[in-house]
Amino acid sequence: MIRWLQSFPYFLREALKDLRENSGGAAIALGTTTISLIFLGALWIVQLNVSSLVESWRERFQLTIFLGVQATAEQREELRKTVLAAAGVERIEEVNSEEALREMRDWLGQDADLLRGLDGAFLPPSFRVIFRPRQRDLTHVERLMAQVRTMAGVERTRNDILWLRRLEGVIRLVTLAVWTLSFLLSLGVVFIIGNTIRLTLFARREDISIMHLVGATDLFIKTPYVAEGVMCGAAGGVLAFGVLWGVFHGLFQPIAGSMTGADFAIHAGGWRLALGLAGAGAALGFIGSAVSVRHFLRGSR
Amino acid sequence: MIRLIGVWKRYEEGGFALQEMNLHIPRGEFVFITGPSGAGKTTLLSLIYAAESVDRGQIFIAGRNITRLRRKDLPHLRRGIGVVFQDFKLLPRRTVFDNIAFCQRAIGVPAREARRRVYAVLKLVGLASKRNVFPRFLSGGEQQRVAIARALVNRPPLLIADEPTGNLDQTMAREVMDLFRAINRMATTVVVATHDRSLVEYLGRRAMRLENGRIVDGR
Repeated sequence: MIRWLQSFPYFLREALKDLRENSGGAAIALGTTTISLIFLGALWIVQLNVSSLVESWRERFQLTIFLGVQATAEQREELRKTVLAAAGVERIEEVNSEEALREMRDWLGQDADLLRGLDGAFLPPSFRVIFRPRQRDLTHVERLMAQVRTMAGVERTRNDILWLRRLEGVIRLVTLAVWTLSFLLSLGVVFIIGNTIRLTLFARREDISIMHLVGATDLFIKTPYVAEGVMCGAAGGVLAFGVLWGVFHGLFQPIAGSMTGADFAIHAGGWRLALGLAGAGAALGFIGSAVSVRHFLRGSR
Repeated sequence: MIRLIGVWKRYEEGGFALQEMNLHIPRGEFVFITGPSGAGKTTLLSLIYAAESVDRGQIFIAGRNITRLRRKDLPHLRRGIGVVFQDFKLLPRRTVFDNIAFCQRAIGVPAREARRRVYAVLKLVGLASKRNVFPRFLSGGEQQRVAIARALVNRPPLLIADEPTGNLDQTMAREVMDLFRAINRMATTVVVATHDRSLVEYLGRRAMRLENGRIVDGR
């Protein structure tokens, strides 16, 4: 093992030499790997942004409990205690009719004149329940809603739970599609790199037979070819990130930014995407080349 | 050094390559294996360096039973055996130096030590001045000397040569034989398979004659 580690510069030199000598095949493998990883990266960006969008909606998710005008102070206190004891609740804010009117004016903005002459009596007082970030389990919310609806003094509740549930279903579908496509694209990359390495192995069959003859271990024979596959995959990943970064920052973001406004920012993944694509490329290159080398060596002894 | 006990080997296409072969070659000996084409010389050598496996019988190399060798132990056996072929098996894209150094690096010898060993072995075979030449620019005798240098660079206690002079004229063939004799004087066991009786007479060493997979003379 120590000899293997000490020989690493030799393995890398041999791998680079092979790539140089088989530059045509390596370029085709690199190109197709890059294209596959661009699609893979694009899928990750889509999933990242969809998940981020849903998360931001979840962050703003609130439960509003409207009280009847006849609700007593005791009933309000009982309700407050019940809500605060529920799982995932961060705090509860009481909104009286005047505050509700002020919020409505803010919300209407330039059209606030519509409320001129009205006092807040037509707006029922309410409790606004804010949940802890990242602890918004919709089951807890549903359970809490069911509990408070039966309590004295409560008129009705309002939330976006049904809509959020539907959205989560869509997200699950998108995630499944992303993983399925990612798997298929990964298989493609494994096949392309594996095939390129197989061609290199075939071209180097005399070297390999002599290596066997002089007592080289399988590990020593395999390593330069596996390193070649890893380099090809990692380089494809880096190139794919470069293309995605260029397209995202140069073309997509300016348009998307103007469409979504300040409400929601679209992410490209940044260094995580770069590392992810390079790592995925390297891992797929490793698998493709290792399978090819193993298959070749089994038949070459 | 080499001991075969009741070894049988069948050709894939049928018929026996070796039949009930018993053989003992002591350490440090120089032995010729002679016989006509198809006598089983190449098969015998292939069994000794474990390129093929026996159908029946036992083979011991330096006291180790190689018929029970595990796959992962094969490289260690091969490092103790230098093999030379009739067609040299040199890599055309590598220089003389790289052909030998490559084999050293392939078994994990550090670069500096590999360089030192390659220079030493090239000096031994008289090709130090041609270290940067590609094989296609060498004569047949020189190419075979490179192959011998490659076989010797691991300092194996056993050197096997399968028809090493088959592609050489008589003068070059004798040069190669002289080299084998010099290597044998350094305590390396040498086994040479050849159908050329004149080489056996030239060196005057022990010779075993094979016919139809059996030793018929010189046991």
